[in-house]
Amino acid sequence: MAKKDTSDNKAKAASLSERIRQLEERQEPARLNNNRAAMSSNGLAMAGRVTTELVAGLVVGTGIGWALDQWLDTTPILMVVMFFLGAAAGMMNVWRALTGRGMAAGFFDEKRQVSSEEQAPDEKSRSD
Amino acid sequence: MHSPVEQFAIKVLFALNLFGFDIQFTNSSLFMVLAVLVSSAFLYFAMAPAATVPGRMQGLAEMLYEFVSDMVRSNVGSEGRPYFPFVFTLFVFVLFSNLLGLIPYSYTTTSQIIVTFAMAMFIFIGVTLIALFKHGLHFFSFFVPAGAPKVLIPFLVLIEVISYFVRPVSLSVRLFANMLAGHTMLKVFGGLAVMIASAGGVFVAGSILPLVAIVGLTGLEILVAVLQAYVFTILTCMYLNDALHLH
Repeated sequence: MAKKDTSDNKAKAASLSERIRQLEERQEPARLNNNRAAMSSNGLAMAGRVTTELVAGLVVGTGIGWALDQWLDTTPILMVVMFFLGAAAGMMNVWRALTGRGMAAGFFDEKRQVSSEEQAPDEKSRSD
Repeated sequence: MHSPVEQFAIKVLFALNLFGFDIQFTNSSLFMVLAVLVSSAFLYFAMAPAATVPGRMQGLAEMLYEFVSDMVRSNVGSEGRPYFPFVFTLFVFVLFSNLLGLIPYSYTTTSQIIVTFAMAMFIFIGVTLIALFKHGLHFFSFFVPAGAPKVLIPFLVLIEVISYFVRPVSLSVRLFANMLAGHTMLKVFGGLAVMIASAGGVFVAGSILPLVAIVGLTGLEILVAVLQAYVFTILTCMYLNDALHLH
């Protein structure tokens, strides 16, 4: 009798953990799409992010260029080059923030890229 | 008349000389210590009853915990659990420093770029080390965008590396600039009210306008204080997510 009970409980526990696993699997895609929703829901936070991202890109790029110039004695060539590269990096970060790719440098998840490119054009035309 | 930026002046409260290091305890350090003490005391006393049905204070503390816990879960996933204590401490510390700074005659530590930059650098280096330990040399593939034309790759990698190093700067500048600008604005309006009032006569009535503006701005500053603590923490979560799930 007691033996039968424990095996019954075991089966119950196994089916429970199976159900938990299935539930977690179902919640996983929601987590991936959450980034975009979490950031774009707050306009004020987004506006602040975009401006600092642009300025910080310029400042860091120019700063690195200036430091390299001091070191290699090539004033002002590298500073000018890095100024433009920094601006490009800043714009890239803004684009990443706005398309909900998180802040990862070079983070290109193919599945997400396709889906966000599909969504982006019509979303823009609706909201702008 | 006080200058609107006088509030950011660092004053040495007492200087220590420990083993040849010159350690100065400033008003900024005092408010950092206060932020730690007040937040710890709040969480300790709010959770002291540990009731099944939470009272007001316990509800607040539990909401704070669940808010950060949800943020970590939705942005980093289950692998982020070990880092939850750090993220929670970070959020509570930034939130309390921001909010304590709004009390008149207090000091806002987060309006000093060196404070926010130190925190951002700690996060940046920590996250980079986590990524390096977890993925080894594979980490550097992070800088090579997939599907880019071969000719462009050296150029793109350079841009990616710069945009990676921008992280600590943009993270720290955002918090510092918001706190600095908000507090300067409050002081400018305050100074304006005093100046108009000191003109005397009918002008005294005119000083009501900047006073009304200060009331509105204080409300806005409370929003900014909470929002910037949230932004600082959610970006930390995103960086952590990138480090843990490298693609």
